[in-house]
Amino acid sequence: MSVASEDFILDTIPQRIEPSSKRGTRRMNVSLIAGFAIIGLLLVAGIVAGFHPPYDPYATGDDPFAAPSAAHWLGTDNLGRDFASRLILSLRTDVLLSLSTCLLAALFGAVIGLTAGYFGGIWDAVSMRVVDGVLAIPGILIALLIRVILGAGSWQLVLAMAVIYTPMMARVMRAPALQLRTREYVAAARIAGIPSWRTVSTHILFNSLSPMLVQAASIASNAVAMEAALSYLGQGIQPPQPSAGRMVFEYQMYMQTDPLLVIAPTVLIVLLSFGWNLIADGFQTYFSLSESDRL
Amino acid sequence: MTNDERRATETTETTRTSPILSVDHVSKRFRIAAERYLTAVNDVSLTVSTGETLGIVGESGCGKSTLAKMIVGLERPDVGEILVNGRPVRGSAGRHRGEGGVQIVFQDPQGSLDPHFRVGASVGEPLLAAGLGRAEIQTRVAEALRMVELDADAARHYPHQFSGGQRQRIAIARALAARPELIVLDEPTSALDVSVQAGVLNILLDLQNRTGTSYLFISHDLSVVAHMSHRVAVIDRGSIVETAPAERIFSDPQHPYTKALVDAIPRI
Repeated sequence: MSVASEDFILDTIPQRIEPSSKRGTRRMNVSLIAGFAIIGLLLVAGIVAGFHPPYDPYATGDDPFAAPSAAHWLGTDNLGRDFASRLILSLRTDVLLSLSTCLLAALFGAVIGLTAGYFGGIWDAVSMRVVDGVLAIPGILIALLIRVILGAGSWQLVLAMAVIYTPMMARVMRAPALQLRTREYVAAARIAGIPSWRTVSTHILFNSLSPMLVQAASIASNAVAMEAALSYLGQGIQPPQPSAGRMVFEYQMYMQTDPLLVIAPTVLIVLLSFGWNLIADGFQTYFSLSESDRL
Repeated sequence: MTNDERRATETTETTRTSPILSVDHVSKRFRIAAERYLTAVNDVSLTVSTGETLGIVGESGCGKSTLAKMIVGLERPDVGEILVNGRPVRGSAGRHRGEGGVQIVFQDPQGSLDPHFRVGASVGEPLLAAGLGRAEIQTRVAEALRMVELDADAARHYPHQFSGGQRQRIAIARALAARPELIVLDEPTSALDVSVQAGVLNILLDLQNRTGTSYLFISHDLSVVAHMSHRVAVIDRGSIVETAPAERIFSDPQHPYTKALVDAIPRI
């Protein structure tokens, strides 16, 4: 099959699902816009400040527990490190961790779920029992197991969370595939001689995008909380690299005297999780509107 | 020459070329429970010649659609053989290299076009599978759309921007784009308003005149089938009970079931 002919199909596949003009587009999707604004802003702030932090987030100073000032916006921590710089760096870590977890889980979950639903049979039975099995184990236990086997670190954490969330995505993606495989346009594709992998990656995938995006965003939100929990337990991001959960753990003993050290990373976790949830919610609204316009 | 005249003259021709479709003693049953089977198609044999329309008529659940699915290769017969132009219809994958073979037009134009595919992508899909190049696909998509009296510009739009009748014409264009020898029309007008049914039927007749494609026209509506077909096969509970030239089905039905069907046509 030539590359050119593939381009033709790709050109004619919509790059995004367009709601028709009547109602959907004119009403602002506040959740989606706010969600993307929060996550986008935090990501940009994290990346920009990662290259140009106000201070070196790892450099200790001789002024521990300094109050917020013009020089140190959020003061300094127990070792005299600039707290704002550390918070911004942990921001980048957390956004990237949740993003890569959600991408990995979406990729593997979609492949497993869509093929299980589409092909059915033994593959469906086996993969769905494995999914059931993984879902039955508490996520934090899986993460700890992987941490014991592979050691602690960022990529191990992403891998562990991908293992935890892939089954959720697979379960969600199986349902539309099961439903779509009986559609006549899928039958027409089979008659036309379109190979199964292409049918799954075009007809089935494109018509399953709405549950997929909603689920991916809510996985990202869960991953933020999971990362915070694991880092709080000391099993996630390792010192000296800052992460929000890790900071709550490190600074909790100074909570009485310097509550900002705990409050700020907590607010960060909530904000990130909230941002991803807004995106999930926004996707849901967006797709239900465009779907109803189609009818 | 009107369509009816054409039909009349063609049915009087005695010499026909070798059949495009031959269905030979085909049966198919489905398991509905342990040790209980439903025989959907029971020992059906039929042939369709080049440029001919064979009508298949029978009530809902008589096995018409199962027969159609077997002919296009979506289902496998338990017993018997189906040959399209002398070649067996296997499994599902395509081996019609951009020309020939069987295509199908489904009943519901709502479900037969992917809502996320532009019309051009849907119509061009069989050609893409056949390994044709981009330019050729575009030319043939435009040509197929013109044949069903749609603008070539329609290729850039989405199915929901079209009416039911237009969508069914797009589905016909998809079948045509692959230049098949046989098109299975599975209740192609049942889901359409009466006002647009005639338009779609006339396009089908016109296309057959121009391209010589054979049709297997499946419907529960005897009057539509008789209008479209040269010969009509009547199916009752999975078996063909009578096959006759279209006009004779009306004037001289032989089988009691056919008589009942003819009597059931409302007359004004």
